[in-house]
Amino acid sequence: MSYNKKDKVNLEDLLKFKKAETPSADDWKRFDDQLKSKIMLSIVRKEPFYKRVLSSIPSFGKALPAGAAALLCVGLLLSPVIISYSPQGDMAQGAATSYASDGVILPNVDSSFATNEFSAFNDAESPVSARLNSDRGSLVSYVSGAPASHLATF
Amino acid sequence: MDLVKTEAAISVAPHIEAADGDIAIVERVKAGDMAAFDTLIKKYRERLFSVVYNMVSNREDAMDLVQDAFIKAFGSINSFKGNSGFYTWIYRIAVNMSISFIRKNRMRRFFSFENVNEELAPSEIVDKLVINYGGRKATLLNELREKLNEALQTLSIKHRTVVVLHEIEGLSHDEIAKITDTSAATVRTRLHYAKQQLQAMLKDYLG
Repeated sequence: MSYNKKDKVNLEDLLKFKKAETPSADDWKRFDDQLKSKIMLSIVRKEPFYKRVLSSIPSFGKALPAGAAALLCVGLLLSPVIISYSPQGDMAQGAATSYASDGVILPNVDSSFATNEFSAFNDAESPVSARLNSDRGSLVSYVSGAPASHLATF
Repeated sequence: MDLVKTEAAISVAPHIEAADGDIAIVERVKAGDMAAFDTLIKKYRERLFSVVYNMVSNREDAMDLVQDAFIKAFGSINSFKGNSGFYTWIYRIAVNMSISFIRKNRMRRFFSFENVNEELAPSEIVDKLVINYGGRKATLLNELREKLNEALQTLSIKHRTVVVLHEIEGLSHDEIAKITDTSAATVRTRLHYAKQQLQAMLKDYLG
């Protein structure tokens, strides 16, 4: 087939067809709806919930640093009191009672925790002796519960 | 068919005129006017779709990417200082997202193409093709669409980007250089090479 120069098609002409590949009006409607939803989602996700709540209270943002400073001061003032605090007898007794009520068997003591007085147990450890480094020839032994002079013999 | 209107619809490069007023709209968006952003979406969605679609060759992916580009633009609108046109900025976002998408999905790419809207197809060129090749117009357009997409896919991402922005979108070399962050000379070189490739691929249609 012979072509007239007038009928010749060049590359630029062909590429113009690419502009004709367009979505339909329905596609654009769907596109707009989806995009709106996505933008809304991106806005919601951008700020965490608590930040949005705090920012909705205008005076809160300004009061926040002052409030934090005040809390810090109160904390510093109270810290010696908190450090020096120790549980009193009544509380300890209360705790013991609550444990007992839970069915925990406590050791039998002769006096109360409140006075910190305990009687010694009668069944003191019986002395047990053991020979150490016996292969060296010298006698080295340990005696538990024995007087200090008898703890070890070299 | 209204030939003049059709030609105008597919004619390219009314960008500078169209960009007038964008800065004012962007300022409104920055001030919290979301409806103003709708104006920008309506104004640029078709052009962005055209760029992205011709780069990724998948209509669904292109729709998603254009949406993501708008969301990204909306999210970082405060960083837009107005040193370049808004369209340059949003084109850059869309092009970069498309390039990232293509690179990420290099191993699993699916093509899905839009139908050619016969009303938007340049009727003068269609007539020439019908004279040269005969056959039905619709069949010819479908065949041409396949060949064109196939040819574009043979180009590298860089070359395809330049062809799409210049030959299909009608952007100038300088505008493309800004969008792709290269020099105008590089754009010209890439364009020359890409067109050579395309001409070889589409020689059956070229008189």
